[in-house]
Amino acid sequence: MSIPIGYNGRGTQLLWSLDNINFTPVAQLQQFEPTGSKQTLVDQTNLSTPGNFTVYQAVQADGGEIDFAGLLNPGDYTYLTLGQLHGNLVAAFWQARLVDGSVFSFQAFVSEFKPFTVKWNKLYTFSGKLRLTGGFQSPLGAFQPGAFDPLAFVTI
Amino acid sequence: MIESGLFTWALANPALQLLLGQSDEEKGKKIFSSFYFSFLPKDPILPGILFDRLKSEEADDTLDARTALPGTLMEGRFQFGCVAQDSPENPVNPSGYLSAALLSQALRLQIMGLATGRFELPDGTAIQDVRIDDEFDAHFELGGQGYIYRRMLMATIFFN
Repeated sequence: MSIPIGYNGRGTQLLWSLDNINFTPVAQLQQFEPTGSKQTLVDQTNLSTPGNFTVYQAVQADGGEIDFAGLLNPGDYTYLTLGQLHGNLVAAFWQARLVDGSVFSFQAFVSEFKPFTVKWNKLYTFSGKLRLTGGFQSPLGAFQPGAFDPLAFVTI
Repeated sequence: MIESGLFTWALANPALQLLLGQSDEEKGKKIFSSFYFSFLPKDPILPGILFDRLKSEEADDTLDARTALPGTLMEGRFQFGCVAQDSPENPVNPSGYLSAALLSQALRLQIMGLATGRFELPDGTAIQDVRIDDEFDAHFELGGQGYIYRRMLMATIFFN
């Protein structure tokens, strides 16, 4: 038996940087969540394929998106900068810092930005999406460690 | 503190002063004191307001680390019990029930008037929004010299 290890969300940060050195956390975020990276799979099944099942070959990986949403403070600099990154089409450097100290790094565009949501009975919120270009750099290493691998296209 | 702010605001409100009771010493002067916290004292001045805080949640929260500094937007639920007794001194309305209902009606309107987005109570408490949750009759109680009628006004106030 082992003691389960878990962490609460408070203290988790999503940070942006223009120089990949100085990172600024986006304030008042309430949640952010990657959609997850996805592979493009090509059907490699042919007459010579052994067995009865379809055989796939992974040919590409898409870093996916990160949805984020927060409580709006219209005067907050870190929130306003999201709009600037969006409007100027900047592929900024980003980090997700988890409370255990793990850091996930990536490059992304602010591909969608909703500066405010107003409801009569709710506090203001903002939301948007980051579109990853390339993959994550996880604590274990890059999701995409090497260059293009032609062996990936070897026909089975 | 919002309690002291609402206390001062209510007793200084001209629309409410018309309906609040006064002691013999207070009559003829612009002095009102019939705003009570949590319980009615013995021989209270009526009609009056019996005030209770029912809930104090944070209006919202974020992932950010917290501090001990004040200023968090609170979502507080408050009960304003409007209490009155039958009184021949009120020629317009001798019924204690109707006096309580009139006071509650006026209080409801005045509290709604706080929902400007930026209202500031006398103590400095900033009120962002007000929602009336409910208004209903509570059962009358035996008072020192008759029955005390009660109408309850429940309001949610966003403040910091």
